[in-house]
Amino acid sequence: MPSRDSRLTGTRRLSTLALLLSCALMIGVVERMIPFQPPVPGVRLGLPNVVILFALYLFSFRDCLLLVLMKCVLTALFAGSFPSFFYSLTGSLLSLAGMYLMIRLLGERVSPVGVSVAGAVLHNTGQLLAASLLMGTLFTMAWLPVLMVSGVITGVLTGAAVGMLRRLPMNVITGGHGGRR
Amino acid sequence: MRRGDLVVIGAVLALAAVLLGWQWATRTGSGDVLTAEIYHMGELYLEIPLAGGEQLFHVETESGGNVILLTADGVRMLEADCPGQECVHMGEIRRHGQTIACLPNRIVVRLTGTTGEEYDAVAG
Repeated sequence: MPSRDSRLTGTRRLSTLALLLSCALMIGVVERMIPFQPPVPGVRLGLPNVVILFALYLFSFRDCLLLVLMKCVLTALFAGSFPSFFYSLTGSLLSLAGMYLMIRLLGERVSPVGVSVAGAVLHNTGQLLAASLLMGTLFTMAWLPVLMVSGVITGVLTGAAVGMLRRLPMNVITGGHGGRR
Repeated sequence: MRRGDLVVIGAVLALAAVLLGWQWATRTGSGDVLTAEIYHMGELYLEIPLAGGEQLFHVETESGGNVILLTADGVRMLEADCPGQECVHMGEIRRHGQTIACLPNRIVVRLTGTTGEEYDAVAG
């Protein structure tokens, strides 16, 4: 985790956040274009989580929270109904909180892979909890084991992607001078 | 990958295994016949034993409608008027405890009961 003083500030912080937000939205749109019908609803690659987790290593929790909220609201505007917004919001917030705590408490003892796996599983858990709440029944929790296993698989993949991104020099992403990390 | 990653992955998989085991242990249903239960917003709306033939049910809610098909072995969501169609793609469920949910219309279809010997062949 970068120390606080190396964090992006000012215009660069704003523009990088905006860039990451649009990346997350576009990746989400592209992901929905993949023709894949899982036998259990909720199984998905979760590619936008690459962006969210990457942001967690760069920005403060507040900035990441803003990023996640904007992502959920804008995704709902593009392609959503109220239930889908509610599910994605619950899942995303639970996932963000879990990933933030893991990075904060465990530091470099876990790599992005472990954090991403926890984030994916928490995302699925949050969605199922939201579904249970909306449907008024706990039966939907029956899918949890399946979604946990799929979360491990997709979490490893997206986590590995974040690991690769973190090895890039920062100016590739922010357009600044030199590697500021 | 660090050791912490493996601990996280191991813990999640272990928890998933425990949950699956628990579902497995509690799989025995209350009756001898598989029964389809249709819930709307958590309230039991219809309860139909799978009697052998095919039966069609239309469920209308304030947010939309679903067509549910009961067959001799299971239940499937035939139509749903939502954009996602997740429930339709889930296909047919045939075992106790399996659930199909239509999230937009808040309809849950669940199977309870057992089918006797056929059970062990399909479980797992």
